[in-house]
Amino acid sequence: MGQYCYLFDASALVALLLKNPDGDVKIAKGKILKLLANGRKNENSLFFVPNICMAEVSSALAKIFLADGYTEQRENSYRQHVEFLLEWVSSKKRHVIQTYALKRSHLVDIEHIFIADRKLPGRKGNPLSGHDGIIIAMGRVLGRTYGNGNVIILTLDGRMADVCVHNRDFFPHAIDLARQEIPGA
Amino acid sequence: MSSKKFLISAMGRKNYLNLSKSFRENIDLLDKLPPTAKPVTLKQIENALK
Repeated sequence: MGQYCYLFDASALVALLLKNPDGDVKIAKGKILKLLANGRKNENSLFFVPNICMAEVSSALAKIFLADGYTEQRENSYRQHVEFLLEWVSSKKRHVIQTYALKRSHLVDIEHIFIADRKLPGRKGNPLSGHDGIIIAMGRVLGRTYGNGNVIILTLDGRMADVCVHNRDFFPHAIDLARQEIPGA
Repeated sequence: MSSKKFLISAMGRKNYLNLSKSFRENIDLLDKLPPTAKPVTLKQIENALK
């Protein structure tokens, strides 16, 4: 089996961190847990998260934990999640998922991604955000190192997955965790 | 269900215990995180990431 390189987006990371996910989020978390366990067992998988997603995840967790107003207890719960995120992703001791830094090379030809989004057949809903485009672009650059077919973006954003799936020759594979199984998991 | 119990049910206790100690410690840490007041839906995550 080749070496797979998985790139988490913010939605996938949020799903993983939540203690009581519901419905599709619960399904997604289960798939990620199995992937991490099997990847660790087989030592043939690499796990990355774009560094720009870390702030996005922190922001999303703040909205989730403080959605019903501020209390000290909710703030503490939120802070524990952010500290855990840093421990899991950045700490050399844990190092479950590695951060992947945004560079100028990722932005070269990024317009192709937004054009592909606009050309998507049966397009509906919101177009890709700048963040989404950057994650696909970072996956595309990883593909030059690990092979385009070996890089897999993990997301709960169906739109991002559709753009990648419809342009497999140019972009990395992307899995909508709510709908699809993860290759190599 | 905790992440640890989920993995044990998905891969079997023996396989779970064969995972590295550090990985199992990481799963224990994940399970120690406090829960939200209510289960979180996909829609909530989508809204939180807007």
